[in-house]
Amino acid sequence: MSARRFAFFAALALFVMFIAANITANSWFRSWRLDLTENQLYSLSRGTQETLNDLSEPVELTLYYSRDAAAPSPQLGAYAARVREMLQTFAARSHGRVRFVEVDVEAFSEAEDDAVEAGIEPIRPYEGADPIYFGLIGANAIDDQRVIPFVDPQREGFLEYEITRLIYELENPSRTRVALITSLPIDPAAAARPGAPAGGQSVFATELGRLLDVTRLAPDFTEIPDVDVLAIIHPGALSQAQLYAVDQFVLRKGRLFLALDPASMVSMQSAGFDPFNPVAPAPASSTLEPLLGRWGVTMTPGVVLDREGALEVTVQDPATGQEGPMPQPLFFSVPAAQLDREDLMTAWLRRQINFGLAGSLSASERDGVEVIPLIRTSGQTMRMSAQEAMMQPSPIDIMNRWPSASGRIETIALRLSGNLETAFPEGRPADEPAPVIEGEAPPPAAELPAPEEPAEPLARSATPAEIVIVADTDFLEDNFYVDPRNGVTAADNASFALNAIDVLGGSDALVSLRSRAPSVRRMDMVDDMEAEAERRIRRRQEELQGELAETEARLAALQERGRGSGFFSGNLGAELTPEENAEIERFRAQVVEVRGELRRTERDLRGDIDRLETIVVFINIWLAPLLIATAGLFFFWRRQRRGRVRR
Amino acid sequence: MKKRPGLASMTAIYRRELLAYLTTPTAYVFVAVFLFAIGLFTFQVGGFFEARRADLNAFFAFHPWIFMVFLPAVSMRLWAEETRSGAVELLMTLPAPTWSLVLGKFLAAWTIAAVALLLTIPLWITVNVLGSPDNAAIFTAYLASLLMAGAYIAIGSAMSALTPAQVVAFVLAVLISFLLTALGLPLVLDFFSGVVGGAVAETVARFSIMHHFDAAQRGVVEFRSIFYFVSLISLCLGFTALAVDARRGG
Repeated sequence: MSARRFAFFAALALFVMFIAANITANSWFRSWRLDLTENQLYSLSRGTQETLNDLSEPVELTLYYSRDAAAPSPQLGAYAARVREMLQTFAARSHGRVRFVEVDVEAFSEAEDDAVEAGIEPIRPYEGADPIYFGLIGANAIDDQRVIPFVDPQREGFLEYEITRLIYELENPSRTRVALITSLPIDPAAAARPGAPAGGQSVFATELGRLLDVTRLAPDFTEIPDVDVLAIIHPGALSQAQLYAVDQFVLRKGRLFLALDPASMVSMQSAGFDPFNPVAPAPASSTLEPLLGRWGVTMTPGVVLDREGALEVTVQDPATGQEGPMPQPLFFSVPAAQLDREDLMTAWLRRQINFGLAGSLSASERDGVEVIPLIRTSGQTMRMSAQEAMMQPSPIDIMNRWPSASGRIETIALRLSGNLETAFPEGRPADEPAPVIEGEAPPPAAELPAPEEPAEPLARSATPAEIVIVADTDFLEDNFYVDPRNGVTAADNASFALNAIDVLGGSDALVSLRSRAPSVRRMDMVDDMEAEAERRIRRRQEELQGELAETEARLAALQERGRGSGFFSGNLGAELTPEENAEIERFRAQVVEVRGELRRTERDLRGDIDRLETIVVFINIWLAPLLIATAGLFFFWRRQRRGRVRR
Repeated sequence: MKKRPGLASMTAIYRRELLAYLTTPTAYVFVAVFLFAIGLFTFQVGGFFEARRADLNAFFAFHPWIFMVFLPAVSMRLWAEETRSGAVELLMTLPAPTWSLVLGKFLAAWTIAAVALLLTIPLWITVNVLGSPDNAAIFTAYLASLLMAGAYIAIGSAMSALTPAQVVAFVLAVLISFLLTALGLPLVLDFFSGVVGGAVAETVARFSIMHHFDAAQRGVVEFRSIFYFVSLISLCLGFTALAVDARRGG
């Protein structure tokens, strides 16, 4: 065989080997990957891995994505690539139980009909544009379906959670079961009844009933049924036997949403409490001792005031007697930025949460127990006794008494995870009659599974506990976050509580998931410069706008006078003196000048960013090539010269 | 300890080639043009500054396309130039194994690509000044880019060994590089899925350089991508060695 012929066949063999090896490597090494990103953005969490390991039936994930329609939006394209990558990772790590398919949805195609039928919602970037479908459908072997109608890039931090949740729901299709203990007029069953009027129900109660399978326990309950989550909202006085039941539920199931209040305004109003009557009954506070103490959590008996987040209320100024809005630190909002940005319960909330007469929580360190503050106040706080807070002292009085030293950051809500010990080491307490809780009579309890009470009382957690404690209950009242005129929510109060209960209702694996920081990082320096420029522009604009308005008003007045009436009407200036006419000209020139200055201000302030861009562009486009080219020319010239010298 | 003869000749060839690059203005011009082009694409086309994002996506996104043109230009002279100048006759008679010659030349060209990449470090510094990027992800992307550059150079090397004309070597290398890069484009995949079905199209996509560079660009090192690049480099260097051997053997 000639060398050329040999080379040809050898090359062919090499090529075939290359193809075969890569096809094999692609399937063999699918999951061999190393995520070097700072926040492990592309790795699956332990919780997701557990959910995938526990899958008993195959699941098919179908991503509907309009590739062509989304093409003009590279950001959406990049996010779609991220979603695709994540879904591929799910499939790769599922031991073959998750299959991933992508469908390119073109306008007027069969795929579009399928997407619409499945409940995928298209978006249109602008009027008349082709619809972009970007949704996910999960289906199991028995054709149960779960749909994410639109995979929102804004929720990138929750992508893994949402996919895991979808898979978990396919495996466990029943709704989260919640047992509710409350002395407040919350009746989720009424909201759940189809066709029932929502009137009289708070938005929170209605949504609770709509989203979850809630059973309110009778005031004289003695045991807690086998549900996924126990929600206790302002429980009133519980008997020892009832507290014991709660204690055992927490040790057995571990999932508790607890909202307590040092001063509940709702209870106070329903009890006919008169803030101006000094011999009023004690404030309607709630607690869950001795359980809280046993878990290492303490709630202050007094309330917390936050000056920075103070909400405005209408008060009468004692000096002038006039009514006007004024910040009242007894009612305050916690902005989204102050919420825990990693916990799934709070991370996706984009708006503030409003509180009123809230308490403060603290936790002592315990082995095996982790406490994460979910919601915290600003650093400008003070405390006040609950009784005094109930009187709702005027903001002016409060401000006068505000301590000069800065207050401390208080925790309004926290999440407690870990293994707990019983608050009843002696076992079940002796029976006593259950206290009668005031409020509406609860609806007749539905058929509920009996608790799986072990023969022996539990002394410590059988399942690691996940407890959310909030030191306020008023925040669930509509008037704290719902606009009474249109029923639109203005804050994320209910979303937080519902989300917390919902997350608690998931599997251990789901509850352990944390939000991932979005992968988009901003050029902070330029953003800061822009924000600063924006501030300065706005300040200058306000000054100049004032000047402009004043000048224009004087000009208008003069012109009005100049128009006059009768025969000369319409002949501007006919009735004005030459001085006044000159004044008009001067004002006109001034208006032009001020407007020009407004434009200049904007240009000048944005100039900083332009200059920065010029420097950055110069360094990165021009500098290095110029230096390299110069170096090359220099070496070339030196070589030439040496060559000439040698010759 | 005595050096193994193959390794010694490889080092000698590597030095000679590198010196050849550094003593002629060609390499400087190429590197300068590369830096200028990548900067221009990053800022003008990729909108690096306007996007206000503290990452180098706009920069890395253009690497395959710029490498596709720039690296065949660097590697076209590897063998073609030797053939033109007659130096190849001398090279063929050297008592050195073919692989050492092939590897030495390849490594020298790869070093030039590495230097060109290294000279884009100001952009990495810039993005760190402007924001706080994920530096681990950027580092990974740089390594992947270097590996990808190796693949393009290996393609160039093979084409250069196949033909004595530099320009032909360049054109062939660009063509093959383009095919291997564009295989991952939706346009091409759509065509494939229409003609031979989605599954084949997916398999075809896995042979695209772009496909394997994508994950690394985000900071994820995939073993199969490393395998792909290393096997592609090996394949092309194998072709080069076969072409050179065929010539040696007459």
